[in-house]
Amino acid sequence: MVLSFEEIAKSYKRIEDLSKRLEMTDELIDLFTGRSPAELEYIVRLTKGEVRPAFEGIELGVAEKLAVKALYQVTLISPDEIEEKRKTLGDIGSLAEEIMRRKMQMSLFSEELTVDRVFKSLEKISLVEGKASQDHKLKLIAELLHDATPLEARYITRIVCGKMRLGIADMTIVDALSYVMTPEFSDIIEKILSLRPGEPIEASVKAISTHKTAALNSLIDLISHPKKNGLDPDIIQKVHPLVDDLRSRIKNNRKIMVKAYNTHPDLGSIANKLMEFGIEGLKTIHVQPGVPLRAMLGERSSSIGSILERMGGETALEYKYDGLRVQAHIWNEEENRSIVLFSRQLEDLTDQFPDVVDYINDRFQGEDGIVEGECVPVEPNTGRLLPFQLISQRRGRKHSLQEKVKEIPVSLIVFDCLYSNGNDMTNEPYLVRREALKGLFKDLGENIEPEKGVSLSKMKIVKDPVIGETFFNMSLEDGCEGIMAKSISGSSVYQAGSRGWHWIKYKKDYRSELSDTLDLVVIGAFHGSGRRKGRYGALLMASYDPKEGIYRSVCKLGSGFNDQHLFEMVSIIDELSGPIEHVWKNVDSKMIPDICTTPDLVLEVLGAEITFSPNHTCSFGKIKDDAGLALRFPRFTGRYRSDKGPTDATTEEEIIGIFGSQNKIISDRSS
Amino acid sequence: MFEVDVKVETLKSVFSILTPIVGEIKLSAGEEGWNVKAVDPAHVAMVDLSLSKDAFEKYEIEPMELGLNVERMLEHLKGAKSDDMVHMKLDSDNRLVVSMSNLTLKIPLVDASGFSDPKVPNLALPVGLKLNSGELQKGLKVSASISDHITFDCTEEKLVMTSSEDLSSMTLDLHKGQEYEEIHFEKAAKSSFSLDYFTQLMKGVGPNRDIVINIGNSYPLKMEFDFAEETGHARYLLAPRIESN
Repeated sequence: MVLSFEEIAKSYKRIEDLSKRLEMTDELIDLFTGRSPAELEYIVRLTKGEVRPAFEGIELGVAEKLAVKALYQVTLISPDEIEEKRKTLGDIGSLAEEIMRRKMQMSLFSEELTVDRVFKSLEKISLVEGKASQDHKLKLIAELLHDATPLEARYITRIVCGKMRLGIADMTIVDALSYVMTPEFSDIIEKILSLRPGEPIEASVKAISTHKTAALNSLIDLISHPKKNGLDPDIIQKVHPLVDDLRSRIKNNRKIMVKAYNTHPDLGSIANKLMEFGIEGLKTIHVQPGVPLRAMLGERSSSIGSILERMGGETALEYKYDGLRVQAHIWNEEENRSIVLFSRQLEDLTDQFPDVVDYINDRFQGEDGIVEGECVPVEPNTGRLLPFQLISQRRGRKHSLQEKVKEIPVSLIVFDCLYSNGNDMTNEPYLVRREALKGLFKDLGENIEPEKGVSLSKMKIVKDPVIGETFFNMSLEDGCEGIMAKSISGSSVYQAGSRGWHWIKYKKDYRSELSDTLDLVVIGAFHGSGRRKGRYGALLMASYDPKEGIYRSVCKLGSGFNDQHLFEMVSIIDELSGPIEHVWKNVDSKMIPDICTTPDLVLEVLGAEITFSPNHTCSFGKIKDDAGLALRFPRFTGRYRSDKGPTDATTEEEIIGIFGSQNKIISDRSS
Repeated sequence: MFEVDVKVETLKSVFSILTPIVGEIKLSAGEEGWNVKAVDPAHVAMVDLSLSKDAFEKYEIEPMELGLNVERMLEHLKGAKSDDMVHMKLDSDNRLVVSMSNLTLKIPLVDASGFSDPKVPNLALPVGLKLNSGELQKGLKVSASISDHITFDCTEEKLVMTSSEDLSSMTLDLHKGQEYEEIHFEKAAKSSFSLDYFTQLMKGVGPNRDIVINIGNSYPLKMEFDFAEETGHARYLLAPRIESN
C-alpha cells in the first residue's frame, strides 16, 4: 500500500500539539510502525526536516519569498494579501495552510501526494543548482503545493524553507525506533494477559497499545509497588520477569541504535537498515572516513585531587586548547586523496579552512585516517596562541576568505585518532590511539610551529596533584582554557557521542566566581529602551533538560554585549522569532519575553553564582518547592557557541551539580 | 531522421500558442505531423496542439520526441523575415540546426525525458459557441481594470461577461446570431476564470481569430481554434476559479 503524505502530516499536527517527550515518542511509534525500509527512511528524514544528513552539506532552506510565490501560483490569492497574512501569522507553515484553505483556483486534475513523491521532489529541490535554479525550484514547489491539502502544505512549506522545527530530538526518534524494532513486544504483552493478572495490570497492559512508552512506565510503576497497589504477589512473581524481559529488550535495542548513531549520525539510513535487516543490520555500521562521528565529551571537575582519585591515582593531562574542535577525515578515492573537516555539530567546514586542508595534505603520511584536533588561531612568528574569538571571524565566510586566511593564520593541534590505515581505532585505549596518531603525521611534535600547521597536543602523565596543578598553570600561561584529564587505563576507549569519566575537564576562569562558563540557549528577547532603543535590552536564556527534551529559563542576560553584538542580535533574533505556540514547543518558562524564539542560538555566559529564584523554571521544585535555579549577575563573554547546537547546551543536571558544589565550597569555607 | 522545411510564420504560431503555458516542451514528431501536450506547473491551464505534415514543404521524420525551450525558440525566430522558409534538422551531435535565408543556428536540445505526458481530460460541456477572439479580448481587457477574475454566464440568447469588485463592475453582452454563433446549447452555464491566466491564453490565440469556446457550470473552459491555414489545430483548457459566495 502506498503511504499518503496526508497521513504523516496528520501525525505531525498531533505532535505539534504535544509537549511531553513520552507522548511524542508514542506518536512517533505509531508513525514508524509497519513501514517499508524506504518509507521509514523518508519519514525519519522528513520528521527531522531534511532530505540528507546535515554532514553531507545538502540543505533545503529555500527563501520564504519563493514559497510565497509558489502559494500565489497555486491559489491565485494576490501576493499583497498573502504578505498581509504573513505579518499576522508569522510562521510559513501556518501561512501556507491558511492560504491553501482559501484557494480560489481549481485545477484541471490533481493526484494524492505520497510520501515517496514528496520526499523525492524535496530531494530534487535541494539538488537544483545553476542559473535558472530559482525558477526550477519554484516549479517543483508549485507542483507539490498544487496537489497538497492545506495541512500537507503546512509541512511541505516548512520543510522546504528549512523550518520544520517539530521539536523532536534525535534521541526521541531513537527511542521510538527501539520500540518499533522490538518485535517480541506483542508476544510478551499477550503472555502477560494470558496469565489473567487482574484488573489494574490488565488495564495498564491494554493501555500500552495506545500509550506505548507512558503506559509501559506506569505498568512498571504499578508492579514495583504490589503491596501499595493491592496486587496478588503470586501473579506479580510471574508478571515481573516478563515485564523486565520486555524492558531489557527495548533497552538493549536502544543501546545498539545509539552506538550506530554515534558512529554514523544519519538516522535516515539507520532506519532504512533497521527495517531491511533488523537490529542485526546495524552491526554492519562501522567507522568510515567521510562520515563524521559524534564527538566524545568530558565530565568536569573542580580539583586535580578529585580527578586523580577518579582516575585511580594516575592520569594523562592534556592542554585544553581554546579553539574550534575539528574532526579531519582523510581517505583515498580513485587514487585521489580526499580531506574533509567537520565541526562538532558535524557540519562540513572544509571550504572555510583551505589552509588547514593544505597543512594536512602536506604532513599526513598514513593511508587514511580520522583525527580529532583543535583549530586555533596562532601568532605566525612565535606560534603563540591567540584568543579564540579570532577564529569565529573565519567561520561562515564565503567572500574574502583568502584575505582572512592570511590575516588570521590557524594551526591544527591534533589530540585523538579514531581511524588509522583501515582500522577502526575507537575501541583502542587512549595511549594506543595517541601512538597511532603520532604515526599518521610526519614529524609531529608538541611545539606549535605555524609554518608546519599541524602539531600534537601537549600531554603529561601525572600521579602527583602538585605536578598536575603546575601543568594546569602552565596551560593557562600558554593561552589555554585549562586541561583535559584522560584516563590511561585499558578501558579508556573513544566513546563517540557520550560524556563520560574517561575524560575530565578542569577549567578555571579567575575573573569569575563560578569556576566555569555556561553555554545557554536564547529563548527570547526583551525590547531595549534608552541607548538600546530599537535593539534588544536583554535576552531570556535557558538550560536544557535532555530527559524531557525541554528548555527551561535560567536567567535574563543583559550585560556583556558591545554595539556590534547588539546590532547583530536584531537580525539573529528576527530569524529565530515566531509565534509562541510554534517556537516554544519545547520551552517551559514563566517569564514571557516580548519576542519568543526557537531555541537554537547558544551563547557562552559567565555568572556570579547559582541561586534560588521563583521566576525561573530551571529545575523548578526539584531542590526547593516553588523555586527554580537561576544564574546571578549573568554576563555574555562575547563568544557565540555556533559550534554547539541547543541540545549541547549546559544541562539542568549540570546546573544542579554546580549549585551543589558551590554550596559545598561555602560549607567547606565556613567549617 | 529529422529534417523539415516550414514557413517561419507557422513556427512562430506554434511557439506563441505554447508559451503562455510552459517554458519547455516535449514535441512529438510523428509520421502525420507534430503534437505537443503541456500543462502549466499549477495544473490550471493546458494546451493540446497539433500541426499536420501538410503545413511543411518538406517533412522527413522518423517518429521521435524533441525537448525544446519555447521562449528561446521564439527569440531565435526573430532573426527571420516574415516570408522566410525555415530549414530544421538534427546534426550528428543531436543539436537542432535551424537555417533561414543566410542565418544558421545550432541549438542543443532540452532533456525532455523527465517531462510528464499530461492526459487531456474528456470534458462534456453544455454550451458551445463560435466567435471572434476580438470579442473576448475586449471583455478581458476592460475587466482587468476592475477585478482579477471574470465570469461567463451563458443563457439561451446571450453570453454575459461580468467582472466586479467592491462597488465597480463591468458587463459585456454578446448576442446569439450577432457577436457569436451557437454550436450547441443544452442548458445555461456559468463559470469564473482567473484574468491572469485567461489573458495569457488570449495572447496565444492572437487577435482576430475564429475560435470555439465551450463552457460548463463551475467547470473548465475549452477553447479551440485553427492556425497556419487550417493545417494546425490548438485546444486550450482552463480550470475555473472557486466561487467565493
